[in-house]
Amino acid sequence: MTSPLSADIIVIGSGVCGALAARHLARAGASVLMLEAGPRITREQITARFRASPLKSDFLAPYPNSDMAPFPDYKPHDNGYLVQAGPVPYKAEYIRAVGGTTWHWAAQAWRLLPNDFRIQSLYGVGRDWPISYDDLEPYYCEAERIMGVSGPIDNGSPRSEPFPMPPVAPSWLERKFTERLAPHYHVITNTTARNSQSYDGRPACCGNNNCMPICPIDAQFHGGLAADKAEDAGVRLIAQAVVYKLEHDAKGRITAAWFYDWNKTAHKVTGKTFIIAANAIETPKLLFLSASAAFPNGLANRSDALGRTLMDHPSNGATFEVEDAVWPGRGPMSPASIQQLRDGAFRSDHAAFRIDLSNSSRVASITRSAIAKGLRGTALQAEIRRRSAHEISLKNVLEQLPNPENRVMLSSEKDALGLPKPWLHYQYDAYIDRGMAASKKAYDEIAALMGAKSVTHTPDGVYQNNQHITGTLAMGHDPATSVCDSHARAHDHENLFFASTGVMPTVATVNSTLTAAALALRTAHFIKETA
Amino acid sequence: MTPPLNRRGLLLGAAALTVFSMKAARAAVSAPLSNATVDDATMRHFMAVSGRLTGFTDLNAELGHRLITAFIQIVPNFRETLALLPATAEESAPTSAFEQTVMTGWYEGVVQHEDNMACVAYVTALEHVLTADVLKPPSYAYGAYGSWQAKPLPAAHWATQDLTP
Repeated sequence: MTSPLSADIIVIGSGVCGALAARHLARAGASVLMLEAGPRITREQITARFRASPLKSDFLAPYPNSDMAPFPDYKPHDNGYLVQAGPVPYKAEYIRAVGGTTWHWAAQAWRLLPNDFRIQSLYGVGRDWPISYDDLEPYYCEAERIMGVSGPIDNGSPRSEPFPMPPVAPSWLERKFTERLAPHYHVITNTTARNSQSYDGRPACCGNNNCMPICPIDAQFHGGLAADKAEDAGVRLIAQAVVYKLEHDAKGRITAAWFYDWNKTAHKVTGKTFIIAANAIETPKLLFLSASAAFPNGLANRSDALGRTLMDHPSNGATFEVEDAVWPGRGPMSPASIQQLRDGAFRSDHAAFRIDLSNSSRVASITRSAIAKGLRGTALQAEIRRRSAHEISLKNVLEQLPNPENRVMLSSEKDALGLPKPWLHYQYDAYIDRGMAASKKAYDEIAALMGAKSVTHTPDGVYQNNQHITGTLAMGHDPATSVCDSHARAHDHENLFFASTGVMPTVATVNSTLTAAALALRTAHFIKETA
Repeated sequence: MTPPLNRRGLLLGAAALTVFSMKAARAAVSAPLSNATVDDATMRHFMAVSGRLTGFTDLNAELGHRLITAFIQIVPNFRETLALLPATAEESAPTSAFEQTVMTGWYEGVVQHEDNMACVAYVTALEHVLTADVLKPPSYAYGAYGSWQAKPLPAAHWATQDLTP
C-alpha cells in the first residue's frame, strides 16, 4: 500500500455523470479526486483504430479492452465478462475508459415527458419517481448548456429556456419521411448533443455518419469532453484505478475507498463525501463487494433493492425498401424520430415507445448480404446500389417496467485482478411483448406510406437492448423499497451519493444520458448546498 | 466503370494491413503481415478471377497484391484453391464460399478466416468505390454543415439506370 490520497469529494467513475458532478463541486471550491478504472484514450486514437478495424460493425472494437478493467465484448465471441443467468441474456455494452460509455453514442439527449415521472399514479404500472419533471427541469437546462444540446420545441418536454442552438439540419432522407408520413405520423428532428453550429470550441457536424463508434471531429458531446472539463476545473483524475472496496465507520459513513492500480498495488483514498458514478452494473458490483459485518448484504442494501429492477430499452425493428432514393448515410446516423406513441392511456396495457429512423450508411451490411446471396459482377453492383439508395431501417425505443427479478449480483467467476464479474438475471414480460406488437403495426403503416412493397421484421420475442442500463440504484422516498433518496443519497450512508443512470426508477422511452446528467447535477448542487 | 483509387487511400489502407485475431483484439495489439512472395502468373490469375467476381475491369494491382498477401497468410490453402478457379466462366451458378471470401476482400477490405482477420483497405474497398458518387465511407466528412439536405445526385452513368424497387 502507498500513502493515502485524500480530498473533500471522491468521485468513482469519470463518465458524463461523474465528471459533470465533479466539475460542479470543484468549481464551487471543493477538492475533488476522480478515480477511473480504465485508461485515458483520445479521439484520434479511436478514429484510427476504427478505420483499421476489420470489425467495423462492432462499436466496441476500437476501444482498448484491458484484462485489468475489462468490459463486455461480444465479437467475434462473447468475452464472458458479464455472466448471464438468463432466462434471456442481457448483453449490455459499456466502456471502461476515461469518459465512459458516451465515447460512442448517437448523442440522443432527450428529456423525459412530465407523465413519465408518474406512471403508477396515471396508468397503474411501474412506479412513480420521488421527484417531478419540474424538480428536474432547471438541471435539464444546465446539462443542455454544458453538453450543447439542440432540438425542436415540439418534442413533448416543456422548457423554461430555449435550446442552446437550433436543431440539426435534416437530411434528404428525413425530409422525405417527414413529407410522406404526414399527417399520420409526425416526424421530428431528434434532440441531440450534436452541434448545429460551432459551440464551446467544437465544430458543427460535418456528416461523418460515424456518431457510433466515434465522432471524428467532436461535433457531438461525449464523456471524454466532460472529463476534460472536470480536469480544467481543478479535479484531480487518476486513470487505471480500479476501486474494489469502500470502508465505513460505526455510523455507516463512508470513510475510504480502496483501488488497485494496473500493477495490482492497493491504494487507499479518504474523503468527506463519496459519489459513485460507475454505471448501473459496476456501481452495484462495488457496493456488493464492500459488504461488511454491519452491512452483510452489501452497502446501501438494507432494503434488498440494490442491483434489482435492472432495465434497458428493448427494441425490435423493421427493414424495407422505400420508393424514393433516400441514400441513408448522408448526415448524422440517427436524425429523426416519431414521438406520438411515447405517452397515452395505452400505457396501462402496453409499453410506450419512440420510433427511431436510422440514417446510418447501410452499404457495408448490404454488401455482405448481397455477396452471401451468391451474387457477382454487375448483378452484385446493381443490388448494392439499389439497396443502398432505398433500404432503410426503423427501430423502437421501448419502455421496460421495473421488475425486481431483473438484477445484477456478483458471480463466482473472477477477473484478472481477482474481482468477481457481474452476474445478471434478466427477462422480458408480456407488457413489452404487447408494446412490440404495437410497434410492428406502426412499422407496417410507415412502410406502406413510404411505398415499400414488403417489410422484414426482426423475429418476434427476440429484442435488442440499447445500452441504456438503468434502475439498479433506484431512488425513492421509502428506504424499505429503494436504494437512495430523491437527491441520490444512499438511504443507509449519509455521505454516499450516486451519479448514474442507475438511480432512475423507470426508464421511459428516451435515451437515459441527459436525464442522468441532470440528476447528477441536481445531486452536486445538493452536496454543495448542504456541505 | 471504376472510379480511380487515389494514392492517399492506398496509403491509408497500407497502414491498416495487420492481422487481427481474437487474442490480438483483446490485447489491442495487431501483428503486421509479412510480405509474401507471389509469382507473376499467380498474381495475373488472381486479378483475372477477381475481375470476373467483382465486375470491376480495372482493379488496382497494388491493392490486389496486398489482398493476396493477406489471403495467403490467413486463408488455408489459398493458392491451391485459387488455382482451381477459372479466369472466365459462366455466370449463372451462385458463387462458392471461397469466391465469396475473395469478394469480401475486395468489397469490404477485410480478409477473414474464422477468427483471424485483417483490414486491408477501407476507403478503397469496392463497396465505397461503388457508392462514392453519393456517400463517403463512415468517419469521413460528408461535407460542410447541412450539405446533406440536398437531394442525392448519383453520377450520370448510374442515374440512367432505373433502380426503383
